[in-house]
Amino acid sequence: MKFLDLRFFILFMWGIVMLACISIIFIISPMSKHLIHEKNSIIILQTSLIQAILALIIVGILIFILIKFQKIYLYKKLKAKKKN
Amino acid sequence: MLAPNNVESIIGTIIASVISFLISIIIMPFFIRYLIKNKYVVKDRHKSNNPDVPRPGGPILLLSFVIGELIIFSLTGFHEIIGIIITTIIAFLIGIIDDFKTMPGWFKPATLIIAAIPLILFHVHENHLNIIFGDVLIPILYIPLILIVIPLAGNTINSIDVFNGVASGILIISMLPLMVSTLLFAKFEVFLIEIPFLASLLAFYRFHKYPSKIFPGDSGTLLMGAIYGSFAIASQSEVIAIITLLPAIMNSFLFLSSVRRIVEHRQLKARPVTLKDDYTLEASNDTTAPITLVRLILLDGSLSENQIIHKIFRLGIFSSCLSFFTIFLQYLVLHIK
Repeated sequence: MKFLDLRFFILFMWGIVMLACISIIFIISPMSKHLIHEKNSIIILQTSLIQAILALIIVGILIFILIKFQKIYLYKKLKAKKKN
Repeated sequence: MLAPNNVESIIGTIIASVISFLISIIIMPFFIRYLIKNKYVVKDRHKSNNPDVPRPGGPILLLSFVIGELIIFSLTGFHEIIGIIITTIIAFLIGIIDDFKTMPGWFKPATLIIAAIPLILFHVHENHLNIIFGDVLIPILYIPLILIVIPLAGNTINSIDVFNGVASGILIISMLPLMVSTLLFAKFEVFLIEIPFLASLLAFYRFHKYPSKIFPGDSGTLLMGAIYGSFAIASQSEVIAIITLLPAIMNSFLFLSSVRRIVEHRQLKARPVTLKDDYTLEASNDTTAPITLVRLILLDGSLSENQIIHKIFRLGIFSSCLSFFTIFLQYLVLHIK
């Protein structure tokens, strides 16, 4: 599979999704463990809010990486088109 | 060994799926004639004679899906079905408004949030988000997630509906990994309710495929997206659903990152592709034109409509293979634990 193949773009996106899953498992999931027996709704709400902020940061970073990759990909694709 | 009530449910699901399939197959030709007679048609500009194609096919798709699901509900009493049906009907109504009246770009994503509410009220979701390598308990966060998933799924399917049969075809391809994931990791009832939808899609594809005899319209694409999103939530297969739909997500991502705002395709001044005299399509050289999946495909050279459709389907099959690999990973992780 060549870099300019569209399947490579999809494979890269798949990698980003997997990276998001791993980040959530290591960063957000441990915070949820004490929610299982938690009865205090304020603590549940606080934890959820922190989890939401962290999730947004993770997604934001990954979208930023994807945008950077897209720019490189498009630049190379247009360059290849001009060559042809 | 399956329990007797499970056997009864399976037989009922098969009957419901056959009925869903037959409703589309039998009623659609009459509905097509009705739409043509009443001039509910649009020009298919990618063909040499610019034929009139009736639109929307959404009502028959809705009818076949709802009847199939109600049969399963009567057998299983699985109350989540009602939540999914109401979500589907709301998405359909939003689409039908957009089919007959030109609405601004924000209309569909904003109003589809309302369509997601029945899923919350009928508690179609679990409190755990399944993320392949484990799951994470998010009892509160899951609710805003649902409100995001349905508009995203609806608009993603809507924006990929650019050529004959693409929206329904890519969803048929996407349903297979989702159903395998549901069978392995979710409630058996969720797997059962997915079958009539696949049957409805297969029947609809018969009329939607190249050259189209009917277009789904916004009512059809939004309801397809809403159903797919609802199944992803009900089966706790959100990540699998995302991976399977990557070509369509890629299309939306490219479009949004180049246009930088939510806008209807018809509101754009520069088109991403141009139609040549021989009715093949080529990528636009206009730097202000949005970047789309089709524009990227055409950067390799001009293609006919049918060739582009096959390229999109091949990308769909590729991402489905990635989904099956991800399901395998999840299965391994679950059994190692």
